[in-house]
Amino acid sequence: MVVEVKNLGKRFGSVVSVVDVSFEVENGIFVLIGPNGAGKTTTLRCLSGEITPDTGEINIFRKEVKEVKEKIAVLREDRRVFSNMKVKDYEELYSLIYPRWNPVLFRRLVLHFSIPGDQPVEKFSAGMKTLFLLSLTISSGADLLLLDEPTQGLDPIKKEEVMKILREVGEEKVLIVASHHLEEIEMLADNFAIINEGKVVYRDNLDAAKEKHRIIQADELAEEDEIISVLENGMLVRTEREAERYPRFRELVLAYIEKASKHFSILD
Amino acid sequence: MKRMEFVLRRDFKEKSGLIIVAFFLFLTPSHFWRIIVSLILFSYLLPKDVEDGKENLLLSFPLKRWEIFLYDFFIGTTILLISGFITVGVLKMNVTSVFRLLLAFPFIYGVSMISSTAGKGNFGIPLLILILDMAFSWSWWRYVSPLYQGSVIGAVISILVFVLSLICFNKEGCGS
Repeated sequence: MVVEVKNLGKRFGSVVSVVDVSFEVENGIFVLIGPNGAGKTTTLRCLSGEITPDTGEINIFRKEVKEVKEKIAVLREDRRVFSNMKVKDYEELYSLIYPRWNPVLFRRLVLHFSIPGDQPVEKFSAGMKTLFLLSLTISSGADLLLLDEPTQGLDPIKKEEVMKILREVGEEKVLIVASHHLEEIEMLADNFAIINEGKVVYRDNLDAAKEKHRIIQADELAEEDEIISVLENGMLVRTEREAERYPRFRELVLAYIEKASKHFSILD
Repeated sequence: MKRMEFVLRRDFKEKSGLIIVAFFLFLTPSHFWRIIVSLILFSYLLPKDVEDGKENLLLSFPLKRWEIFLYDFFIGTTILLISGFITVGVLKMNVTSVFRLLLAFPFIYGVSMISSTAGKGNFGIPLLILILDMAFSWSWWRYVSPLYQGSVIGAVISILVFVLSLICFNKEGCGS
């Protein structure tokens, strides 16, 4: 097992960010899905060793995080960068800290994304920062890549390109991606976990999850069906029997989040 | 060594102006003035990163908390010591004055780290503490003062504050 997370919990002062997150990742691309503030970023920060969890256990390559940090590269959500540094400065820093840094791949990515080498990185646009930091992360040579919102700030064409590159990278390395863009996740994920209010409410393989659920109408409900949530166009149930249709990934995720959420209405 | 070089290169790229200014200001042969210059330099290394929430950016790399803490202290100390020894060589100042400062550095860095880790800022409160300590150094306080270094007790206090600040930073905050 590359990554094992058991009952992870983390609070910041009085704010509880993660309550109970557990999952395992063996290979490929694993996606953490959830709404804003669900605990995805906190989970990734714990995995990277940036912060220490209050409760629970994390094992990466069967070791504690601090022992294997050189095997982990991170694309942070906030896209913070060092000041007064250009592409070459970053390349030098990464080559120092990552033993298996790949300069050839990095230069190919920089050329491909037309990343300007003569500007300080802090002056890059949001999308360009994403592409640059992603290029660094991919070229780090690390075995585990933690990517927080890897398509943030990108135009649709660049998003497609990035997704394609990530799929290729995911064939060789383990990727854990945090995102709330459902369509992109569906294209990317091998396995996923839905996080809501700091808890994993469902996790599975993408295809297996669809097979285990159906969208049905109320009058088709059978005794063995487990109702997950009522959606606008029917209800999502977990069932073994053949019924109306398989859910779309979007419906599956929204239903589980709806089930786990506190209901809110402006009319309340 | 590569991890240290990483921190060093990053400091010199991001904070080169501060480092150069502190280096030259430290050439002035006044103990009080040098204490203030030391605070300016040390408080704008890791304590400033903590204040700005930027230490998390460093921690997302394969670096441990204690490494970042010690490397930044080492960088600040080296810069000021080189400047200090230039004054010994060129201005024929007493080398003891430089060693007294060397023993004060852990206190200066430690106070600034504790203050920023506790969310009280990297410079203001440490400056106040340093001024108060120096202001009382005419009295018996000089024998325990971590800045004046009038006896071995001052050195012990300085190192204790340094260790406490390292523990606080390692624990992600003094309160936790």
